[in-house]
Amino acid sequence: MKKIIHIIVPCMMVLFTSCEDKFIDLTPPASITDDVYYTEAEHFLTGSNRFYTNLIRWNDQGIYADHGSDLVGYTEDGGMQEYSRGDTQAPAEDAYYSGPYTAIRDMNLLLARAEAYEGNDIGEYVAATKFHRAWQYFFLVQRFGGVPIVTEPLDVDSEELFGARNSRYEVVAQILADLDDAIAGLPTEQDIPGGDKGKISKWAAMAFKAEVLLHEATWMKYVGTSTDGDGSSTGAGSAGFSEANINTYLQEAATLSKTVMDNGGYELWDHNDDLDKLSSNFLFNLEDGGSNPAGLDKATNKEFIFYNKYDFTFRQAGTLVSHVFEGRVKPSRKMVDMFLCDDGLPIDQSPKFQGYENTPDEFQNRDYRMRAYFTYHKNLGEIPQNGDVLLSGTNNFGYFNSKFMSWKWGTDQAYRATTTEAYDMPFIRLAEVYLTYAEALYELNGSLTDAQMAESINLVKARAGLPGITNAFLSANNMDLKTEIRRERTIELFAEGGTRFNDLKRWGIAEQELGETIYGAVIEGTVYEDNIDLYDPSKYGYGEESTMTGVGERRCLIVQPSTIRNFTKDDYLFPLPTSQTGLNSSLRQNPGY
Amino acid sequence: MIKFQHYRRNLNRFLSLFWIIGFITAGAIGTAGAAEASKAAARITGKVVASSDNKGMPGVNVLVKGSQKGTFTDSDGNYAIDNVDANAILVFSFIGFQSQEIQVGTQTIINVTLADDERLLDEVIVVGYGTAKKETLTGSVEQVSSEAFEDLAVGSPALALQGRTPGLVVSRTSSRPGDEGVNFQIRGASSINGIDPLIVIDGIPSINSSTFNNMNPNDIESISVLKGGSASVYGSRAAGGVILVTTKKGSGDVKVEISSVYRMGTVGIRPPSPTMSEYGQLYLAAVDEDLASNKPPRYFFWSDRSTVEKIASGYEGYYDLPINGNIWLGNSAKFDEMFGNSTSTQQNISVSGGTAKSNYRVSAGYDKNVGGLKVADDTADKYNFSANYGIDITDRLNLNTNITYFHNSFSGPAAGLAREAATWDAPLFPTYNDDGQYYANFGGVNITGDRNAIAQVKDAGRENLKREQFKISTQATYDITDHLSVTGSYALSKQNSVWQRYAVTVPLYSWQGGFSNNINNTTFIEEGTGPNGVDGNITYNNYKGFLNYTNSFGDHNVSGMVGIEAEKSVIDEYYMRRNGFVDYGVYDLNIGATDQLVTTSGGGNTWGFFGYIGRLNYDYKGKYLFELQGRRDGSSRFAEGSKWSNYGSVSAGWILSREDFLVDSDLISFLKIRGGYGELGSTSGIGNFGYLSTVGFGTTVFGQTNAAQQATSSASSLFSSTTTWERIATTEIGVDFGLLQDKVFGSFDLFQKKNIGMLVRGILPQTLGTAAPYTNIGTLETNGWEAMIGYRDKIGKDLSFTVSANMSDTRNEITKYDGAQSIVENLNAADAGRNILGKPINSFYLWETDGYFGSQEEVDAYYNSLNAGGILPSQTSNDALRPGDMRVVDSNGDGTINTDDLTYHGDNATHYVYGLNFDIKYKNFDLSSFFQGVINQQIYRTGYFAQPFQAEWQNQSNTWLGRTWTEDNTDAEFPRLTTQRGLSSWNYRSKDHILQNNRYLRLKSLILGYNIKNVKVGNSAIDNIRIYLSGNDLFEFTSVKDGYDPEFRASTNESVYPFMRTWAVGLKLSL
Repeated sequence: MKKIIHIIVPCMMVLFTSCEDKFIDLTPPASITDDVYYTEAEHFLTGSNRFYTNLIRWNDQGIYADHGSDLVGYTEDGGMQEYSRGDTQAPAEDAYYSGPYTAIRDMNLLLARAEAYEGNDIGEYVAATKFHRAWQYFFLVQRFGGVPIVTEPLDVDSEELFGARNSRYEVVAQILADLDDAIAGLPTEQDIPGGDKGKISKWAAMAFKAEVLLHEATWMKYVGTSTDGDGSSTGAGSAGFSEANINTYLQEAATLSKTVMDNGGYELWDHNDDLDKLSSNFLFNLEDGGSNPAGLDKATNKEFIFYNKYDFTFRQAGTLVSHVFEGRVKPSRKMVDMFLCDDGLPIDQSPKFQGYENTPDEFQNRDYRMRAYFTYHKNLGEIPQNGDVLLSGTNNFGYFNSKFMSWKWGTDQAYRATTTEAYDMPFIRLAEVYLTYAEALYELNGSLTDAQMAESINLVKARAGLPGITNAFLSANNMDLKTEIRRERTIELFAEGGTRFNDLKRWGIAEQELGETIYGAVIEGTVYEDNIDLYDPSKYGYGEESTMTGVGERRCLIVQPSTIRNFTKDDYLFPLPTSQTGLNSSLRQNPGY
Repeated sequence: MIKFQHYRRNLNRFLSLFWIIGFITAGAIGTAGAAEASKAAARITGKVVASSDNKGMPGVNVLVKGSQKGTFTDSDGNYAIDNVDANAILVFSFIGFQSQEIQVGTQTIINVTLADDERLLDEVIVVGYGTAKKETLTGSVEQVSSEAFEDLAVGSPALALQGRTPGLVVSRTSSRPGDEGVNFQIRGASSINGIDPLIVIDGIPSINSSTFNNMNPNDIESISVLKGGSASVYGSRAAGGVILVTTKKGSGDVKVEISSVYRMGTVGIRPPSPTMSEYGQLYLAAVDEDLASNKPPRYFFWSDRSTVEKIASGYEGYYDLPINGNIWLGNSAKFDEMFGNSTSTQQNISVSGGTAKSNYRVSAGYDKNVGGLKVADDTADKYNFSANYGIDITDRLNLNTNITYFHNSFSGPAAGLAREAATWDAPLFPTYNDDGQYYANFGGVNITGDRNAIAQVKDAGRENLKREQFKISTQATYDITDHLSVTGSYALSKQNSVWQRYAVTVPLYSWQGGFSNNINNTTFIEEGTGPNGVDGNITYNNYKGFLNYTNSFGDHNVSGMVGIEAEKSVIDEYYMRRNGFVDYGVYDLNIGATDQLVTTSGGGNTWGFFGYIGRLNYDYKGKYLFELQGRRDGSSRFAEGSKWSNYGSVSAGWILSREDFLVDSDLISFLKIRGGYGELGSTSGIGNFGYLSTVGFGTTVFGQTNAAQQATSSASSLFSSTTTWERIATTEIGVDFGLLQDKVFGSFDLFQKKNIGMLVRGILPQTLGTAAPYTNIGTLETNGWEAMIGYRDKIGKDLSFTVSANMSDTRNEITKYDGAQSIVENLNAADAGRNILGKPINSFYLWETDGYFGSQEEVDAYYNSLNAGGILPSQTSNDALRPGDMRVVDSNGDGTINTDDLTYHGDNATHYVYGLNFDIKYKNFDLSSFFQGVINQQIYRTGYFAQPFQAEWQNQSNTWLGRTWTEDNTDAEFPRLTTQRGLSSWNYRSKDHILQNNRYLRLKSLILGYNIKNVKVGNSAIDNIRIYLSGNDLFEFTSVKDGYDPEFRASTNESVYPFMRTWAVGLKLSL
């Protein structure tokens, strides 16, 4: 018996040993490994779907809505507010640097897998992926200038990781190449089925390419290589810069825009007749029929060409949208005075301008968008009367914003509570394409024909209740076409898509425009003057100052003086995160940081 | 690296050899032993009595020395043992009594009288896979006996360990039932991945920390803490040290114990929570400082100074405000309305007993732990059941079975207890308006507030977590010979976890009764296995097989063990949610809407370990001690080819007090020096399948009016197939001593831990687009010490007392981690991936300051000496510096104050953690008190109360009131107030003078008991009645400046739920 045990015990132990694999050779019970994935077209579909989640979201309002720009009077510390004052310092980390590269890795991986894929049924997904890669790189270029180009999924020992920056011209070339592939492979908007709306179309890729071309052409024209650095001690350098590209780009931008205008099937969302002329408000909070008084829903929107898709059931904003738009983009004096009168003339020229004496005066006979954007959200469209506006503290300087705010927000009839908003977030819409077309042609030729104005900028103006412009009208009123194109763009795209900062920079005027004093309400000669019930001067740190208004020089409230607004050429580009320049000595910081 | 591999190879060879020898000797000696034993056949009987009362002692262990053979005395103290050789020595032992050894010789009846044991060092303590005498241990093991867990006013054994033993740091972050945030750390950090100690209960590793936290403290016999090399026998998961829990077993006469405890909790340190007028006074003070320095105050909603003044005066009534409209303001600090006294109970019953052949203990317990939240139920209920049964099936075959079960259900508000409760909104909005409706924050007129902490806590939704664990383990030991035994064990543990949470809409109103806004505009109900990866349905299997050998050859005592341990854990998870939930009093997923968002997800994971274990102990004359341990471990967490690794440890001890030159010393009664070197592996940090690239799925939405979800996928992560175990090498040396017949006792340990090949993610440029995989490229070094000293004595016959104290400290440094040099201001937290080469884990980087500006001239001079930019506020802005603001030092002298000027200011770990224990027994009275404390822990507050006027819309902490710089108080603790955010940040954000020391000393427990022995109630005899009063956390001394409890976490937004002082009355009956 005992002997048997002496044999059994070691045997049992050996047996035990032989089953060690049962404990340490395991497979994941709830996930699949990627070596069985990307083997069917469906996998490339879901792979390319993911890139829509990499787009700027409502959480990114700071950069999307141009917080802190010269068009905005609201002041605070932080992010884009500091940026507009030239106070940005190189941070240790920047999610707007790392985030795009994370997305790009996914894209590169999908493209690499696509090369190994043998079917021919994934062209659309590959094309969409190229579009998204171009989109991410363009975001990087706008923010940082030239950045390292990565087009393959890298590994930990890839040399590219420690490479130098590519110049912005090289990155732009890469973007344009990707967009050409995208345009070739994507379906038209008309061919995208209803259930896939929100996906990128051929027209969207063209419209985006036009935007890139216009941006880069004007950048080269007005900024040139002044922000590039030498590429060896600072910046990304100017490799690949060619002045000849300016006109080539402009020409193509115009051609592409025209193609989209003619073939895209898009139309401006103009329901002014049903919406009390407030189309330019309700377009931006459009959801189901309850989102506006005319019962219009998202299906009526044929204007958005590329956008981030939201849905009340499946994808709410999840962040304070109405709440933040209410305060953070209240317009500055400059913004308010930019709107034309409904005779198509600037306020300092128009006999229809009513001045500032009473609170409602300046709203009379103006561009529809002024009412659509800047009347109080609780009684949208109602022009404020004396006593409705109190100048009672730094951020109460005379104006309200309601663009991108849910209808009747803040009342018990609010269509959406804040954070549950689910309106789509526009990136490219038809109005912008019209303006791109006009601007590209203007920059190319220095002029537009009446017909060109009629088929582009005048359509946008028409929705705003403004008469169209012609060469005769402009010269008769001593108006400048460039100014009018830029004015139209500034107003139409207010607080949308990061347009203001990007435009000011590519036009080469950011340091002037951002450096100016920001004013609020006109005080001199108005109901506010010496009226403690409406205006308490002790609440403001910077007092009043005379500046040009629609009725000549008047004392206005200073929201922020030019002395603390120090945006310079060096601020055109954001600093690279120091964690990255520290890790890779070939990665040179942008000049001035 | 080459040297290191060389070392590893040597260790490999050595271990193989060890193995072979192990098997051969096991067989050979076993056979020899069997032959020897068959020679004699004497039957020895006798009775064991206690010296104190001469009564028979049941359950005394009678063992043939140097063998596994033995028995226990029966209920009268009698024993019988067969086949005892004349040369054999019988060892009689019982915990708390001095062991006796008697040479059998020709005797067949051996009666023994055991004397009380006063020698602590003789205790037999539980070590890895067995027991050992503390006296002859070579490793560093501390044992905490059942006394530490009995009679406490807390229901969790985890908290009872706080401060009990040097080197084990137990921390908590809240007293909220079910959310105490208990964390264990043995000998400081072992890895930036944070390795938790392994908790082993009766030989079976627990499936998670809740297994231990939910134990019934009355079931615990002892807890051993294995530190350093001695833990290496638990290799695969023991790199963070091991906590060995032994549960109570039965013995002797049937014994029934019933206990009942009634507890009352009162609020301890009240976190800062200003009243209306305190809020107003602070605001007013800041406004006045702004006015005095020509800055426009940021009045926010309060519009002007006179409103702020009115608030400061405490005026309750309507305020007509430009932004809010006509709203009511009143005093409403939510804290006192929300929190207050609570009462809890604990009931226990156990039945135990044993005979010579078997023993059993069955126990059941119920613990109700009610939190300090007054306005809503916030309770954890815990049911424990445990049964231990041991039986000698034959003389040689012994079977032990243990079944435990607990059910813990927690129910509390789903939200509203964090920043909502104190730091978010000013204390000006009473909970109810005049009509008894919930009043909205900010008045609910023009600003349609959607917060009201009490409404949220009471009515906005709840969270329910039910967790049960079941464990059955059985262990069979067969004595092959007197010297050799084989043990096999199997255990199955199972956790079921059901978590539910729902949120419903609560309308809030203005004072006048108009609707303002809802709390929870989106409602939902969700259910699943748990809110995070700790929960889930877990099935854990553990298999062990061992051969044990013990023998003595003259003065040479040898014991050894070889074995195998295999573990596998499978986790299943699911989660589902429906939006659109209405509270009809039924809380089920079915009640959620089907036309709104419905989310479901699954999940699951698994891991396994397989280990070969060997240990060899040798001592000569009980004076020179050696121990050798070895393991070969395999883990499922690494790729093929990297799964296996070998570890070992060697340690030695020398009991000097047994040497001739000390044996007669009057002063030194015991002295041992010991030391060792050991290596352990860890897989902490790396995921269960961290070597595989898996596809991640998600959804996004497309379509127009009726949009729908579509799947998304990605597979972009990088993995390494060569990543393998972390290897933690510990070098230690220690001394144990006893002076004056062990009246004075103590120990001191010094150690160094080195995590070589620490699993860290390589730091690579972000153009990689994903995190670098975990690879073995880091090194962390931790140095530390532990000290313990005690004194115990008797005065006269009836008074005995013990005083003891312990303290420990560790310091760590990341000595290798390429690229880990990117510094951020304030805390560089390891769990946020912020590590700095050459510095400890969780380092602070702050700007240095040099006092306040005394005058405008000093301010101007300061501006003149510096470049504009960086963090320096513009001289023309509202944030411009003034007298009374901080002078921040340009520490690198480059003329600009920016992030380059940040300097290192230590880490956030607890340092010099200590415990103090006083026990007195007098006749039937006993009094014990236990203090615990920390001498140094740096903390930098975060959240809304970390800085005044971080934002003017948030509540303001009353802690600053009257303590800030003013013209009349230039020596103030804190800089000048302002409502300007930027300037406030200059003064308060990431500056060295705001860093606090969280030093404290806290009376953790105080127990006063009285025992009545042998009373008769009617016909039933009661052996003992014990009545006691006990208290926990009754008072503390602390250096915390800003009014928070020293055990709170850094975030003021998460630090509202107060720590309670607990008072308990208990009654215990032993029948």
